[in-house]
Formats: sequence, structure tokens, C-alpha cells
Amino acid sequence: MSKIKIKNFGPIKEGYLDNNGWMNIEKVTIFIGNQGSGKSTVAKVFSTLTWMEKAINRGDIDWTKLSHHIFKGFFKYQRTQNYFRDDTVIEYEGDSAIIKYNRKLDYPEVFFIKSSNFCLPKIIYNVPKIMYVPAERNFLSVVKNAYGIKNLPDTLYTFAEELRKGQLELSGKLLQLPISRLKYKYNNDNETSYIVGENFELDLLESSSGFQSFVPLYLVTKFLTDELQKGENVLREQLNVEQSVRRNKEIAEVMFNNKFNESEKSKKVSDIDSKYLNTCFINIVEEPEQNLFPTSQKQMLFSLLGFNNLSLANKLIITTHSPYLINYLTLAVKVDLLKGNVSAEKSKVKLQKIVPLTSTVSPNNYAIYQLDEEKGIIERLETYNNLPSDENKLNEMLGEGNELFAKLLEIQQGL
Amino acid sequence: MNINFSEAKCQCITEKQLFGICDDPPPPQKQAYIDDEDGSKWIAVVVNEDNQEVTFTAIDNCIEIRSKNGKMAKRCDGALTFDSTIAFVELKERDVKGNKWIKDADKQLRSTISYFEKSDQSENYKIKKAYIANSKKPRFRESQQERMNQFFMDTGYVLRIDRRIILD
Repeated sequence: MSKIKIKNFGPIKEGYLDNNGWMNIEKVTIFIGNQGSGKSTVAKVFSTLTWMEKAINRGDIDWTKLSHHIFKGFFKYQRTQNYFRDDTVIEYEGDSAIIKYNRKLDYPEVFFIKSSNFCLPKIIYNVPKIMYVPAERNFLSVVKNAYGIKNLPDTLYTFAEELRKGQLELSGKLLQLPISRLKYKYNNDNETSYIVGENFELDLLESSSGFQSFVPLYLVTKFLTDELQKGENVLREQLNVEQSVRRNKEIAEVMFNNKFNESEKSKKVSDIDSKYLNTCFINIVEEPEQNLFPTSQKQMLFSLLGFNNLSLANKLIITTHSPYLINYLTLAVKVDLLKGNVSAEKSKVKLQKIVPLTSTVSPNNYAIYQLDEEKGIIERLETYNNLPSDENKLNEMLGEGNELFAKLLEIQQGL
Repeated sequence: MNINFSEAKCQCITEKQLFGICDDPPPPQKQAYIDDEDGSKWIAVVVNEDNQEVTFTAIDNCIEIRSKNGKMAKRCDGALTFDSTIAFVELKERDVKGNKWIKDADKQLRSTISYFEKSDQSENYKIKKAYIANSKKPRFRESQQERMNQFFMDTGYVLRIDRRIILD
């Protein structure tokens, strides 16, 4: 499990008030709050720090030369480099490293987490493939030749790159979408995406805005999840030249070292590979509900949760304005609680009809954080019987219309 | 028939800032009551910020309301009164499928209100409200504006479906 502490950064002031400021980032973590409250900021900082941990481990970043200036430079990718203030505090604890930034330190500090006792199991660090799925993703569906446009956010370029790979990987085959019983097809000859129904084929450019937002999200999530299952050879190809040279050098040092026997060599090579090769997927998605009807939001969420459950170390981080997502997450947790106690096949089928049993969420594995844009603080939503409390801002806002309507009736009563 | 909505055995008075309205599950059939100690029993939560003197009247299982054929009429659980405000309250706790609990409560409130409006006491109140409170979780919210509007058109009472009753 990872955790993060953020203070005085962009819209975030005091940040998280409990647990000495440390927010646990669970397997499923959702951020809710008004626009400008810092939901995406937290998701972006987490994304950047998770990447830093990976890059330090792999040797892409020389942590001994880390300065405040270099540290801030890593935030340019997410366009948050100007969010820093004199009193900014950013701390991160992952499975392999702790990273601390604040101006009182001479330089950002990096500590490695190692088991101090040789009897303890080795700390397992799963190298993550990190994907930040920006809210602007539908841009790639609505603009012809979007790949050639300059000055887009870097996160959108990275996303576009993976989308392109996912499209080519399909090589013309139909891909079943989890919503509305439709399929997706990519024609590489004219570089066009199609939504395919029983009797029609529609250019994605002309399809509904919900598909334009959902298709890229689904395709990239599926592509990256599938890629992790393909084995070491495919994963090795993902390394850039520099990383590949570094890995080969490290392996050569082991192989030509006569101090090690064959079994030790094999173990060491496997350790080196575990630094370089991605073994899990951290999917960070801004507003996955974008332009979707509630039932489609449900199918979309269950499909993301299903991909997230394919590996223990996968994580799904979501920012949202949708009360439906919280409601559907509640269903996924409730079914998880029930499915362990159900043995009859009939009952399992009933549960499966509500939430696919592969998409459930363990009550110990989720967190919902609410951000307050006025106070700049973050609170973790309370739970009851392991379920998310209904006293969350999104649910309350649904009720607000009723209360305002009652006030109008009271005015009418007094006329 | 003029029904007495202020029978002493059915009433109690409080000035507490926060209290609950409770209705223990049968058997035996008992009247609803207010409590300011054990929050776990509260079905509706009353917020009385200004410490106003509030009267709670238990109606179901306490005040007899009989229809023309002599049968006991549908009644809601109780009413809160202060100054010129009356708020009828129906408490729901049990699991009922879909929104049947709202429909049932709606009928109980309408029935009680129709008898009350025929009584002399109705003239004492200008601000008229009705509450359906359910303590069951989860409470996914939904729009109730059509029901609220119809309820107001039919009865003149402002209906809220909310566990919290704020007295102001």
C-alpha cells in the first residue's frame, strides 16, 4: 500500500487532517469535491511520486543528485510545477522508497525500504505501469488527426500513444465494449475508429460524446492490462534504449561474476528484471463518468474494477463528480461482503446479475476522500458496516433539490 | 366527529436541542415516543437549535381515529407542534422493497392530515409540514419533487422525505 502527504500545494492547504497528514492510497481510491478543490491535484501528485519511485529504483533518476529544482521539474509533465509554495510539503511512501520534499530540507530526501532482518520476506516491489487518463481524452475522438496536433498537455500525448498502440494491436478485429452491447473497430488504413452495432457502423467522430470519452479509456485500460499478461519478452521491449543498456550491463556483471553459482545467477537476474519490468498497472482516471448515462456509468465502473482485480498490486484511482459512482461502488463492496458467505450456485447467479463477481471491492481495499475547496482540506469518507457512508457531498447534493423545492412550497404556503 | 389530537396520555413536551423520535418494533404495538439519550434507537432526528418548547403527540396506537364504518383509520406515527407550526411524522425502519415505504407513509400522512384538518385544532396552525423519516441505510437520494408538489396541492402540507427534522 502507498501513502501520501500533501500540504500547501495548489488548491490544497492543510490537506488531510488525520493520520498525521498521511492519506492511504488503497487499491480503489476515489476523490470527490467541487471543481477547484484539488481532486486532480492529489491524483497528479500521486502519479508523479509513484513514477519517481519507479524511476529511482530503475536508475532513471540519480537520487543522490536530487535537488529541489530537479524535484519541481518532475511536476512539469502534469503542469503542476507552479503549484509549489514556500511552505509546500510533499511526502510519499511506496513499497520500496520514501520520498520527502519541503524547503526546510537541504534537498529532497529519499529513503529505501528494506527488510532489516534476513528472516523477513523480501519487500516485494511491483513495478507499476502508470497511466494518467486526463479528462481531455475525448479530444482524441472528436478531432481528426489529433495525434499530429502540438501543444497539448503531455499527459494527453502519453495517453494518445497508448491509445494508438491499443488501436494497432486490434489489427482490425472487433472489440466488444461493456456498454450498450456495442463493439469497437479501428481501421488502420484510414486511421478511423468505428462504433459497431448489429446493423450499423458509425465513425466515432460522429458518435455520442459518451462513446468518445469512454472508448479511449476502455481501450487503453484493456490494452495496458493485457500487455502485462504477455510475458517478459513483450515487457522488455517497452524499455527505452538507455534503460535497456543499463539492464543488460547489470545482467552481464552478474553472469560474468565467478563468485556466483548458476542458481545464484538466475536469482540475481530475476531480481534485476523485477526492477525494470512492469508487473502491475496503476490506472489514474479523471472523471470516468464523462458524458455517460447512469447505467453506462455502472457498466464502465464495473469494467474498470474488473481490470483492476486482475492483479493484486493493480490500483484504480478516480476523480469524480458522479454520485452514481459512489452508489455503484457501494454495491461492489456489498457484493464482496456477501459472496464469501454464499455457496449455492443460484445465489451466486443473483449476486452476479447485480455486480460481476470479478468486479467486487474488498472493504479493506477502498478509500473515498472528500476535498473542500474553501478550507483546502481533505477528509476520508466514513464507513458504516464497511460500506461508504451516504453522508457524502455528492449524495447530499442530490437531496438538495428536494430541500430547495420544500422551501419553495413553504413560500407558496405563506402567500 | 371531532377527534381530540391533544390527549394528555399521548403527549410529551421537550426543549432539548437534539432528540430522536423512536418507534420500537412490535410486538407489542406501542406508540412512538421521543428520546434524548440513545441515538441508536432514533428513527427521526429532531434539531431544535433555539430550544423551543416542542410538543410531541403520539398518534398511531394512541389517538383513536375511526373511519365512517367504524374501522381504525390509517394513522401516521406522531406530530410535532410548536408556535403555529405542526409537523406530522411517519417513521419507517423496516426493509420494504423499492419505494413502497414512501407510498405507504404518504397514505398514512394524508389520512391523518385529512382527519386533523376537519378538527377545530387545525385552525391553530399556519405552517403545516409532513415528514417521512427512514433510518435504514443506505440512503441513496433521489428527486421527490413531483410527490412533494402533489402532496402540497392535495393537502396544503409541505412534505419532506428526510430523517432530519429541523425546527425553524
